[in-house]
Amino acid sequence: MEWARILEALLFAATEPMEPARLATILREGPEGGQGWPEVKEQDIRDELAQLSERLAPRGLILREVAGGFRIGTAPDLAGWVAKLKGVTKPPRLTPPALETMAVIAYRQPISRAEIEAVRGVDCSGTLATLEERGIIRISGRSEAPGRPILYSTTPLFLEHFGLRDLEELPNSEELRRVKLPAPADPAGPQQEELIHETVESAPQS
Amino acid sequence: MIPMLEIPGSEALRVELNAFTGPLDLLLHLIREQEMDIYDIRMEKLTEQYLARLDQMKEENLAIAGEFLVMAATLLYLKSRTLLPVQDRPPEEVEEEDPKWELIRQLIEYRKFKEAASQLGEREALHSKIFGRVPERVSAPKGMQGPGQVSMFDLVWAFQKVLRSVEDRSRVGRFEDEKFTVGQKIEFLLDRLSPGEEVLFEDLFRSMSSRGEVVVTFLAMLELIRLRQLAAIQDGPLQPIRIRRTPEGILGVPSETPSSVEGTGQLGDNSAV
Repeated sequence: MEWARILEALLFAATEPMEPARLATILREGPEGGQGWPEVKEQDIRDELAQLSERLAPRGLILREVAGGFRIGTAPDLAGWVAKLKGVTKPPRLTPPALETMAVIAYRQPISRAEIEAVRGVDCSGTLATLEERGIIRISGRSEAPGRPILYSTTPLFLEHFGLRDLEELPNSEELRRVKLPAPADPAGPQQEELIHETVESAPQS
Repeated sequence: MIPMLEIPGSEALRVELNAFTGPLDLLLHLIREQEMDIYDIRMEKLTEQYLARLDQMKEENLAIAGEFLVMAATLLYLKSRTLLPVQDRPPEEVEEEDPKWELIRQLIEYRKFKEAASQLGEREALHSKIFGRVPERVSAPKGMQGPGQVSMFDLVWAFQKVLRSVEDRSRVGRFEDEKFTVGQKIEFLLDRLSPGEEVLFEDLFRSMSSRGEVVVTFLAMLELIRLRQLAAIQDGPLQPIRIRRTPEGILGVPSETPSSVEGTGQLGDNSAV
C-alpha cells in the first residue's frame, strides 16, 4: 500500500494505542489542506498492520495490540539496553500485594475498598493509592451501599501495562467473574473492620 | 500468650515471612506445606502451625500486621469449637453451619484471585520489557490562580443558564418518572470525557430534558472536580466555561497541564466560593 509509510509514521509518533478506526479516519481525511485516501477502510488498515508487524519482527521494534489499539514498542529482548538509556535499573513492576489488589479490581470492577479487603483479608488503602497514582485504576463512581463508598475500576493504562487487548483477554475471566465475593464487614457492626484499621495503624512499619 | 511450638525441620522451611501478603496467604502456604485438603482442614494442626509462625515472626522482631492477629483469634475460636462435643454447644449454634466453612470459602476465593494475580504478574514481567513513546512533559503554567479562575459563582451561574434552557425544552416534553443517581452520572461523565479531553460546560447537558437529571449531573461534576478528576477552565471573565478531564499520569508521573492553557484558571479546593 502506498499509504503504509503514513501508517508507520503515525504509529511511531503516537503516545497511546491507536485504534484502526482512528487511523482509517486520519488517512481518509488527509493532512490539513492536502489529499487523503478516501477509499481506505478499517479492514485495509488491519491488513496493513499485520504486514507492518511482520516487517518489524527482525528489527528492534514490535507492534502490539493493546487496550483496543495498536502501539509500537521496543523489542522485549532489548529491554536492558533501553533501560540503560532511560536510566532505570529495572522496569517498574507492582509488588505482590498490589498485584492481588489489582486482580480483584480487574475481575470485579467496579468495586469498593471494603469488598476488596473482604477478599484479601488485609487493609488495601496503601495498594489502592499506589495503583491510582500510577494511573492503572481510577475512581469510577460511588456505590449505593450505606456510606456510599467510592468504587474503583481499571483504566486503559491497565490494559497497556499488562499487554491486554481488552478485559475479555484476562485469564480465566469467565470463572473469576462468577466468584461470589465474601460480604464486606457490616458497617452497622464494624468490629472487624475497626480492629484491622486500628492495629495496622499502631503496628510499626517494617 | 502465644505458646512456643517446635516445627519439625522449620529451619529448612524458613520462609521470608514478609513474603506473605496477608493471613490468608500464610494459611494457604501452611495448608500446602502440611499437604492438607482445603475442604478437610484439621483446625487444631493448622492453628498450631499458624501460631508458631507468628511466634517466629516475633522472635525475628518483625512487625506483625494486625490482620495476622485477628486471624489468630479466629483460628483459636474455630479450634475451641472442635473441642466441644456437639451437645454442649450453645443451642443457637447447633443448627448453624460450622463457622469453619466461612473461612474455607474465603480461602478458596482468595486462592483464585491469588492465582490470577500471579498470572497478571507474569504478563507484567513480559510487557514491562517493552518501552513505548510517552507523552512529552510540558511544564505547568504559573497562572493557575490568575484572573480567569472559575469561581463557584461562575459555575452556578452557568448551571442556572442550563437549568433555564431545560425548562424551556421540557415545557413541550413528556413527564417521566425517571430516577438518576450521582453515581450513574459520575460514570456518564467519565465515559463522556477521556483523559485530557475537554468540552463546553453546556454541551454536557445538551441531551438532558429533565431538571432532576441536570441537577444530578451537576452534583456529579462537582464531586469529580473535588476528586480532581475534572477541572473547570475559563479563559477570562464571561468566557465560556469548559470542563476538562484530568489527564491520567503515566507510571506515577502525573501529566502536567499543557502550556496552551496559560493564563487560564482552574477550579481547585481553594477556589473562591
